[in-house]
Amino acid sequence: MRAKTGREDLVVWRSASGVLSAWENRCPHRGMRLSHGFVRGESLACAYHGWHFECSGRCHYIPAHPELELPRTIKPATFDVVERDGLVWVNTTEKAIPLSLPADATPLRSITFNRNLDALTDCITVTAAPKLNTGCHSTTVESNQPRVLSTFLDESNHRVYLALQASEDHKTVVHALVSKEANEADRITVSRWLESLRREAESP
Amino acid sequence: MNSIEHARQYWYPVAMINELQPGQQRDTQLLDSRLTLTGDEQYGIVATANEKTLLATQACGHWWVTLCDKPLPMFDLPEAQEHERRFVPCGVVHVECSPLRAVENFLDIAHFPFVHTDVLGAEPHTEVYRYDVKVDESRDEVIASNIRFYQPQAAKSAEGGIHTEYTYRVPAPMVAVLYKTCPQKPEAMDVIALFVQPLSEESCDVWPWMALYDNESTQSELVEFQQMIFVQDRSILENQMPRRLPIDPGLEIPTKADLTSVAYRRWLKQRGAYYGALAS
Repeated sequence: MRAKTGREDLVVWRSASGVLSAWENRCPHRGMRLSHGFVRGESLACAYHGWHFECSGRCHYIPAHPELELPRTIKPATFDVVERDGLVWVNTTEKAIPLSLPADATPLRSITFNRNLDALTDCITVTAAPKLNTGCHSTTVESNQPRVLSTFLDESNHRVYLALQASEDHKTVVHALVSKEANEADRITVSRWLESLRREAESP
Repeated sequence: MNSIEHARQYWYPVAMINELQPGQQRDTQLLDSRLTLTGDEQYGIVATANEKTLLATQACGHWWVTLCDKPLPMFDLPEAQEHERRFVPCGVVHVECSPLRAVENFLDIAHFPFVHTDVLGAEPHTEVYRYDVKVDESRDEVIASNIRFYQPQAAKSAEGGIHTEYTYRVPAPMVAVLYKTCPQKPEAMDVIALFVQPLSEESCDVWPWMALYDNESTQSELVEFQQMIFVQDRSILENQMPRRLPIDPGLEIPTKADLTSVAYRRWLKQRGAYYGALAS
């Protein structure tokens, strides 16, 4: 899949055996976005000319030259990636250190907001949430870098965590997590709350 | 001469012949300039930019215009005079990419099994064999020849897979002509051309045109076949980064299969044809 941070266009993919990788979203051959490619076993194949890249990022097969021995240098820029609490964390400049979320939190859904990170944080903590009148108590900023918010939602009777990812064009992807205890009805309630939050945050 | 001045010396397609009835108008764009096309009883078409009437001429099923008062001569395509061929203008496909990327993709065969799967190529027939590339100095064009490739359905008229032979000509920075084995007439070559109208450095309208030997397919079947191919290419072209063609080596890694593209980029650079290119 494609993921965008403020700076980088990324391809994030999982091999058949489960190895997770995050790379620059650009084939070194002709600049094609690798997120359009397809996973073949332990390789990601580019959609344009089928160049195969192994999990380390190294290109190991070029279909136009099946016999060719390839130098190890043909690879896209690769980034540190870690999976924890059901979230994938990437750091494009240094080692990825994921934030520890409470052990009982489990991912619910990811949803894109058409607001930048700061405006959205402000909106959720100050403006939007109280207006929604959903019995949403004070929202706290759990962490600023990366930014994670948490709030207690009466309606669902559970705590909700929102991990915010600054994306392209002043957009923000919100990854929502909720307690493992939440049943299906609660999860639906939280999901609808997220949608109303988005409507409120995006309204002029 | 800067890149846009260089580009203004050439002729570009803007409409199919007979597309505009007398009095009928259409706005378009060429090299960042707004253009108005008007169908005309006497001249066929009148093209204006900034209230100035442009030179216009008919060739290969299209109207061509130039923004220059003393343009370079139009390229020569003798097959357009061979009247036993079927001439098939294929309409227009808009693509959000550099006009040079659109031409380079047309010159590329290694993508056939992946982008035009089971039509122009199929795994495991992915190998690109050695072929010849040269610049014909007398005609000032890039020529790639002796290209052989296995194609499951090389043309609308093909029944089953054939080993197709290709020759390419690039007679202008935004024109590419392909000669390929004709499934119905093995001693002759079908002609498929790509005429690119540069709207800006990062967007273009592409006018494919064919001169074929095919007595069976209807005109709309032939157009549909070519449009299907080009729409598949568009999904690639709009996802290449950067949008402009990197004309200097370094940013992208070519292989032997890309000899035509390497020669094309070098030829553009030597001529100062930087419109749509990313120079380092």
